[in-house]
Formats: sequence, structure tokens, C-alpha cells
Amino acid sequence: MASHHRAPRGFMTFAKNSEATNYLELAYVQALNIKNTQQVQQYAVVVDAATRDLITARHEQVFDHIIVAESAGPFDAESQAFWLSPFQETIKVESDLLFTRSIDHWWTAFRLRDICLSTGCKNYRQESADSRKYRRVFDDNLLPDVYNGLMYWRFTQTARDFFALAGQIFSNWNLVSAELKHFRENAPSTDVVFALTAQIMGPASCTLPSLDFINFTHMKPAINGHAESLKFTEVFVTEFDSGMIRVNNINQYHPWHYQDKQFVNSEITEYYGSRIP
Amino acid sequence: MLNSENSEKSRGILAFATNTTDIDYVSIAQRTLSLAGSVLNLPWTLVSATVTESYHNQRYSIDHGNFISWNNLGRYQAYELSPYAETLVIDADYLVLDDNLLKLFDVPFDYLLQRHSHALTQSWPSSMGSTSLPFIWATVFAFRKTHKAQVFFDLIRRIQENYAYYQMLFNVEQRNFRNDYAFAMADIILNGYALSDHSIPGSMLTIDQPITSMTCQGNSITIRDAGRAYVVPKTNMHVMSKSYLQSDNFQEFVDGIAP
Repeated sequence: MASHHRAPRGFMTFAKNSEATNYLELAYVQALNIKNTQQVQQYAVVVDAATRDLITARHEQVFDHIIVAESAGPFDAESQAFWLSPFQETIKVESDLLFTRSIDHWWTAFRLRDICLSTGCKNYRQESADSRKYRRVFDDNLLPDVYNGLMYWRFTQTARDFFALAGQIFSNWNLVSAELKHFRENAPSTDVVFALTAQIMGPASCTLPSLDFINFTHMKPAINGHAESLKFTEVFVTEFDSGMIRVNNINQYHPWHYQDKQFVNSEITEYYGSRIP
Repeated sequence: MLNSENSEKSRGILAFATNTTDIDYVSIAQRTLSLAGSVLNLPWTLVSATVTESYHNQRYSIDHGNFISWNNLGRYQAYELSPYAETLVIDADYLVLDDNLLKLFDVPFDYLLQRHSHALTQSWPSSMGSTSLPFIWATVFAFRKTHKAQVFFDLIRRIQENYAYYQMLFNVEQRNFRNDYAFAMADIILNGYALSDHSIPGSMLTIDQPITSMTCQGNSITIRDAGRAYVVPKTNMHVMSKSYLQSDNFQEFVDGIAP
């Protein structure tokens, strides 16, 4: 049987539009950004049928691979990522994440594992974040502090086992969540499901916490020390300077997870479009 | 890279002091400079009234309990006005009581700032505002006449001249101009828009309350205020009580250490 892989390495994201968020546009900006900052520029986007209908010629110009996958819920497709990826080695990113410099050397580091989730996150000051406000369920359940917002795998048995196990946890979420302390949401969180999977697989086999650069800057309020009621754009000046993103006068060297889905507007789309030769 | 135009390196202390209606900063600076010069065995230079600005600045006075006029502008001129290749700049209210600052010049740097301070009676905020970045203490700093230091001071000038803009850009809460903030902003910008921990080692002791006397016994300093006496090590310190620094007791204190 021929391999379903279309390229050796690439980035992949999920973009399923909702009423509130145009994830397709976030992915479009991200694809432009990756093509401007990375040497490995292959980019795949996983969409549902409804979002597929919104894809236009400008999207097709920057998306190297458009994969249509239906799922019962917003997160189900995440556990299918292993089988959906057109790459032998994949870095999966959330669509609301931008790069200000190349992370091409990370591919080498990632190869220390068959699958690797990023561990911890940074605040806008580029320091390791110490707020645990959004991670109480991880702490209370002794789960590894992993984020699926930036993760790597290659086409191996270990990675396959990881996603197969994650799929089982998604499928049996009612049973699993009943055993979790202080998890009060109905829908499964991909971060929690992948943390549970990592815990069962053995965190050492799917994380590299000693490489503390393998994570991203998270723009959630408590991580950056401002009121929960405010968006970071209401608190800090954000500047775009020749590809660099500067928040409150600090250059964002780490991958930047802006998280506020309204942040991307036509001006930002145009800015990243203009950076492609 | 160090400036190699000078065949022989000169080293000295510089202070800025301009009198206001409330405070005789020049007299205070003459006392603290003579103290610093004696302890460090270095020449010193006092710069006064270099900028007669239209901008009216104020600071909170711990002695008066209200805001008083303050002429703290023009610190960026340190690079241009210093007659030394290696300069230690101190505020008029900074007391040099040990020779640790001399050791700074054993290592390479363009400019070196004091990032940390602790006070006798309170804990300081560490940033320029609740959503801002850490400030530094321009009370004491050192620089060499290098290109990078020149850029640093030029940037401080630019920040001072456009302070309203930088104040908003950095989310500064206080409305007056502080060199502590202008220096911090320039340092962040010059450091490639990143925080640095390159610093004068240690934390600066600040005597943050009105005091009535200081006496030196061996390696200890006894500081008295209205209600208490504090015994602290004989170390460099920042004394905020300008009323005390103008008193006869302080002159006696200086004379006792630097006769």
C-alpha cells in the first residue's frame, strides 16, 4: 500500500470554523507566517466540510495540504491527527500561534522522542510562567504540564499508540472524567486528554521538559499578570516590527500563542501577506 | 568594545545636584561626594543646573509628607559631561561607605545599573506599574565611555524629551519623570527589547524613612528615626531623608568617616 504521506516534514493545524471564530483565517495567517519564518514550510490544515466550503484561491495558494475530516465534536479530530497528517514528521500547532523566528533546529531536538508534547509555557516577558490558575486540574490529578498547542510526532508505533490511547480516552470521556478531581467541564479538553495519555504512556517517553525552550508564550491573563476581565490587547501595546512581535516592549522570541481569536484582523492578515516575497 | 582613544584610563565619581526651593542639593552632594571620594580614593565632579527646564517635576518627600519640586532632569548628560573614562555616578543622597563599587571596574561592561533595592521599613514595588516592567535604581550606576554607553545615554535623552509617549508605551503609573524609569526603558530597548539581569551585584539598602541620626561604630551603622534604632552593616546606602542629609549630625557622620 502506498504511503499517505506527501512530504517528509511539515506543520499541521485544525481549523473548524465556529459562529464566533473564523479559524480558517487564523490558519491562513499562520500559514503565511510559517512560510515567512521557517525553512520547513509545508503546511497542512484540517477542516470540516463546512469550513472546506469557505476555502478560496488565496487559501489554496498558501495551504499545501487541505484535509477534510468530520468529527462528532470539536476535539474528536485531534485524536485522529496521527492518521490525518500528510507528513512523516509533524509539528502540530494551534491555529492561533505565530512564529517570530525559525524553529527549524527544534526538529532535531524533537527527534529525541517519537512523540513530544510541549511542556509548560512562557509569559510575555519570556520567563517560564508560574501561574497555575488554568492548570489546577493538572496539578490536582498529578498530570504532566503538557500543551498540545505545539507538539511533534513522527510516523512510529509509539506515536500511533499515543493517539490510539487518546482516542479511547475521548471515546470514554464520561467514565474518565468522573475519576478526575476538580474537572468540572462536560467537554473533554485536548490538553487534559493528552496529559492523561502522556501519564499512562509515561511522561518521559513523550515530553522533553529539560529542553525548556520547547514551549510557547501564552497570552492568557493570569499568566501575564493582568485582570481576567481584560484582553492582553487592552492592557499592553502590541507592535509588529519586521516580523518581530513586541508585547509591552518585550520581543516575543518564543512561538506566540495570542489566544484571543479576535486579535487577527484584516490589517494583520495584510501585514503577514506582505511579508511573503 | 571599550574606547581605546584614551592612553591612560581615568576614573572618578560624578553627581548631579541642583537646588530647589526646599532642598540644598548642592551642599548635600558636596558632603556625599567627599565621603565617596575619600572611601574610594577617587576624584569627583559635581554637575549643577545643567538643564533649566520649563518642565516642572515633583517628587514625594518623606520629610515633608507631600510633593515638592524636583530637578532631576539632565542625567543623560553624564556621558558628555563626565571628565573620566570610567565613571561612577551617584545621587546626592547615596552614601558610599565601602569600596565594593571599585570592584565593578574589574569586569568588562559599557554601563552597569543597580536593579535591586530593599528598604528598612517597607517593601518596594518592583515594576513601573501593575502591568509594566521592572525599573532600575538610577541612584548609582557606572559607565565607560564606549559607543554603546553613548547610545544608552542618548536614548535616555530621547525618552526624557518624549516622556509622555514612553510613559504610555510602558504602562507607567506615576506621572512624574523618574530617571529610574527612563533608565529602565532605555536599558530594555538597548538590550533588544528584552529584560536583562546584568547588574551591579546585590541589593541597594535604602533608608526610606525620616531619620534623626546616624552613627558609625566599627562595621556597623546605627540609624535612628523618631521611634526606633536600626543597626545595619557599614555598607553603601541610599538615604532618602534630605532633611537629615542637610543636618549637622550628617556632617559629623561624614567627618567621622572621611576626615
